[in-house]
Amino acid sequence: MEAARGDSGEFAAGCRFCIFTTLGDAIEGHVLAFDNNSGVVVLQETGITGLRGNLRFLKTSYIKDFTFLGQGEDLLQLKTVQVDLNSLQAREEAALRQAESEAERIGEGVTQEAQDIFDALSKTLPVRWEKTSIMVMNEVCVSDPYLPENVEGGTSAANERVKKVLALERRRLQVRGASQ
Amino acid sequence: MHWNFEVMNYQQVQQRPLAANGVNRRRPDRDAGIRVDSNFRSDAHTWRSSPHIRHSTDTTVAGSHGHVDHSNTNSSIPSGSGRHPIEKDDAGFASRNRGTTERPLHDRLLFLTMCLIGQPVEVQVKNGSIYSGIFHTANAEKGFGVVLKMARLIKDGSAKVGKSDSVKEAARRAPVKTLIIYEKDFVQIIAKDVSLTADSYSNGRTRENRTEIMTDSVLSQGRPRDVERELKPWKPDGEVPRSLGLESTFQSTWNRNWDQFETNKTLFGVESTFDEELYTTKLERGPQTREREREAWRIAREIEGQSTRNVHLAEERGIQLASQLGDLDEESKFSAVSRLEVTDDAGEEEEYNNVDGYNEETFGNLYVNGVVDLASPSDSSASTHSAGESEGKAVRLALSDNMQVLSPSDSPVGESPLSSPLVAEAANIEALNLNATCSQVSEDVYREFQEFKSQETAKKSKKQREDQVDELKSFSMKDFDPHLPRAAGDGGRPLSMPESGADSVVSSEIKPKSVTPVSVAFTLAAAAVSSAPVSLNPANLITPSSHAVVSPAVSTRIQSDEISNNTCTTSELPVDSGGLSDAGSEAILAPVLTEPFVKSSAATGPTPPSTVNQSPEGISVPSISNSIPISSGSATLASQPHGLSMSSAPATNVKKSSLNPNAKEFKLNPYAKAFSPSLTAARPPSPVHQGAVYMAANLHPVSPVPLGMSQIVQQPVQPAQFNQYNSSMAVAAASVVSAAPYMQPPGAFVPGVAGAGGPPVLSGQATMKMPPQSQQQVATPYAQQQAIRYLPQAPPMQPSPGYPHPSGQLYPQQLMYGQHGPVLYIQQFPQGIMQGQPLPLPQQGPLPPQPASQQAKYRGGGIEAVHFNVAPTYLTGQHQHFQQSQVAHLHNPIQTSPSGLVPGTVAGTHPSHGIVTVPGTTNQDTYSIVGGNGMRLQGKSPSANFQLQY
Repeated sequence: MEAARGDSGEFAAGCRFCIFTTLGDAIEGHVLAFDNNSGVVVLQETGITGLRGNLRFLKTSYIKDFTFLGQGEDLLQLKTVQVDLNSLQAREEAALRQAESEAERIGEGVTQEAQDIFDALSKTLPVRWEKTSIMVMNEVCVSDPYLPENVEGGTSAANERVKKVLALERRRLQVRGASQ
Repeated sequence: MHWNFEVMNYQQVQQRPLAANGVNRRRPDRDAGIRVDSNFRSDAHTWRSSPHIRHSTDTTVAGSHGHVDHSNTNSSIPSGSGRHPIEKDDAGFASRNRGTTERPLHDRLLFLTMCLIGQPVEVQVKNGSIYSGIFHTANAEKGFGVVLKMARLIKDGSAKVGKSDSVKEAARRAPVKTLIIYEKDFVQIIAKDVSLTADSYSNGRTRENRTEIMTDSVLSQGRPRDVERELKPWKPDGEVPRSLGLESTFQSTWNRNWDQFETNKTLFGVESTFDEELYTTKLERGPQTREREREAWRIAREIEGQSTRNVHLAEERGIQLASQLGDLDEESKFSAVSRLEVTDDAGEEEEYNNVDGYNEETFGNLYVNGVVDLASPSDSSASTHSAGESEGKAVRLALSDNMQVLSPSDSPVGESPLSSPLVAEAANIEALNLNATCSQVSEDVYREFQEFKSQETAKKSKKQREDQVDELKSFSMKDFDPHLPRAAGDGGRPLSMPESGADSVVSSEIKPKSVTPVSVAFTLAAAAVSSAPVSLNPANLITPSSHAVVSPAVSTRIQSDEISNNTCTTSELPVDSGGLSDAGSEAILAPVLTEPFVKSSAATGPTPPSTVNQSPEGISVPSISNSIPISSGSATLASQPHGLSMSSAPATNVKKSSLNPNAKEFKLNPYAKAFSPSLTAARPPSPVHQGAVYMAANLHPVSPVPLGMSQIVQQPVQPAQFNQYNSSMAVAAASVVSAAPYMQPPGAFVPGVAGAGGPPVLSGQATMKMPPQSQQQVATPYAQQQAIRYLPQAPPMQPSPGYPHPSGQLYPQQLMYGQHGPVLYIQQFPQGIMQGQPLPLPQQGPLPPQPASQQAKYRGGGIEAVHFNVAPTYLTGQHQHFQQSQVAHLHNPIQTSPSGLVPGTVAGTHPSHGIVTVPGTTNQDTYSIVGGNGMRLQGKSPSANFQLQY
């Protein structure tokens, strides 16, 4: 660790390294940035070139070993870069919204089977979790254990529809489960 | 320091209070997050100094122990507004920084950190566990702390293999809103596909929008589940196939033998019913097979051996245009029109020539002949053309030239081949014969022939009439018109009378026909109906040139009429049907026929007369009236004479049925089509266009003749217009039921009535026609009502079932002609009925018969129009008179049309004549005879068929 840290000073932008971490990862890429204060080196993984790619922010203290592969070209020119904080914020908001909408699809304290059923239903019907019950189209409630006979509420048509979808999805899940 | 940097930016930006976290703002319950922000802001060092977040209750901390606390709090990152040039900051930064040498790299770290904001990342902690979440912020001051949003454990460091229960558990739970990973636990961030350019930021908004739109992908986006496998990169075992392309794959031997059917049967037990012969011609192998294959191979070689500059062809022939192929995209190679400069390609030239040759083989004779025929009257070259097939091209050109010369506009009606009925007939005959050698029939011959015909007709007309009447009666009986029988009877007689008049009017040539005409017309109509589809085209194509064409047009109209009748829709058809139903049925038919005939030209003439005659009887009129809004008038008419109008429809139906059998014969028209192209504009061929022109010419002549209204002399100049007008009128009449506008035209039709009011009528006619062409004089009255309609007329015609189709333009014209007769009738009725005035003029209409004079014809058309205006009074006055007058008018129109149409008329006439004659004689006998004539003349006269049926 100390050795790594000691070497960190040598992480110059553009240098290509193959780094092995103490946790067993092997990272090959070139250095984009290095900060001795925080002890973090930023590598861009080899593979995708240009100003786009997979990044690694690695704490140098977890570097077990590294190999210098050569001097590459440093494409990152800070002088030419401008950062739009607004767009950053927008991007984060969007990502959060997306994540939250997906998070809402996860039932709290339900079984995996229930979640699978929920997911299956969501492919054809608008569903949401009402605690541990699945609310379909905001009117039909499918409660634990999520069998067709557990479908309640809604108009008869909607009710029948949900029952049918539920039954068929269950059958499909069974088949898939069996095949696995 | 770093944090300072952030904070600094933050503050700069923060001048806008809110900037901090829109997300937080939107969620009141997360105000805590804002507070955090404020903390950061106010005290940037809070973070630094205390790695552990104070709001521990609200935040989750991923510790080295790998346990996570969930909380609802948000810690927010300082956010700024506006662009924040890093370089700028650098300056400020520098001051803050203690000027360490690493600064440049540190700045880079900050920048890269910012690149992660809002991106999904994975963070590994000390124990090897990995959390995924949305990167929110980091503290790079000392060590590296990270804050994730919506974080979830995706790999449990404690579990060496597979996914631990904790991971499964995490997947089943809502993600941690905010996960703080302290610097002491932080190992690394793994961020996939991060853009390091400034534009990535601008992408932010785009991405946001995209996520809202991409519903499908969102739906199909499975949440991480243990059902999912971990993906591993594929690595080939051993040697990698050089090419995985489709072609190479199926070129290899082991794939060659792959039998999909066998495989399918083996795997799934599916028995294939595939039979190649279902999809292609059965290949019969015989003794000749080998030779044929060799020949085919030779030809293929020959073709493939040809050089070409066409990239696509070159590829097919296995020629490499190395210099080009490589650079071209698929579009250029296969789809686009070649932009390459095509130098003279002998091969292609040959191909074109060959194509021409084929065309000649296929259509050449007819085509050429037809053209020639048209041209022939004036130009002897036509015969030459017909003679040489090989010279087809040259001939055609020559013909086209001739045609142009001949074009109606250029040549006086009388002079133009088309204009002269005789010529037209001759042409038609030729066309029918399809005899290349006999390009033309001399006028004398034609005349003789016509005389013969007329005589025959005269002889047989009576018998036919009677027979037809009987038939009509029977038909009407069958259909549903009780009246029909009566009407038929009445109509038949009156018709016959009028017919005689009509005949005289129509043309000197065909006097006897008059009586028969009705029957003929009827038959024609029937034939037309049966043949309708086929015939239409021809009619459109060649009004003047081919009889067959004319008849088709008629037939088509009839069909439409019939249809309408059946449907009970108000349209041209109704009118026709009305005519049919009554004795008038014949009359009606006649109108229909007349229209077509008119269109066709002279040929129509003969039939129209018959029609006219019938109409005079009043039957036709009623029918018209029925069809038209004027209907009331028509009703009256119907009540008086025949009262057939209503019943007429059924009659039509009957006719249809009877006609249907004939329809086949009509099919012969196909020839007519060939003609038509040459003659009329409908066909692309130059001849066709000329034909169109001819039509115009015909129209002019016709217009004068039909009306037989010398009074309307002025019109001659606008003959074409008149014709149109007439046609339009006719159309209107036909469509009377359908369109009010048509109604007006009916007024034009009134002409028959107008006949009484002759002079006015004339003016009216002129005006009527004017709208389209002349426009001025009569225009006002008519213009108002008809103006629109006139223009529409052509269109209306098209709209109508039969007319519309391909030859729309032509049809209109034809219709116009044909309609004149019918229109007149209708109008008269309405007027008469409406006004209740006597119709003295009607007789004049008959007088108009003076087909000889083109002007008269024009007037006829014009008169009709005029009549409309004037007509009402007349009509009202005398229904009977009207009928008669109408008849007369009808005759006139018919006659006029023939004369005007002459060329076409001849053709048309022939069919009609043939029909007419047939009627005169015993139905079948006559028909057969006529049919024979017609057939010969036209080559395929629908009428012939009809006649047979009758």
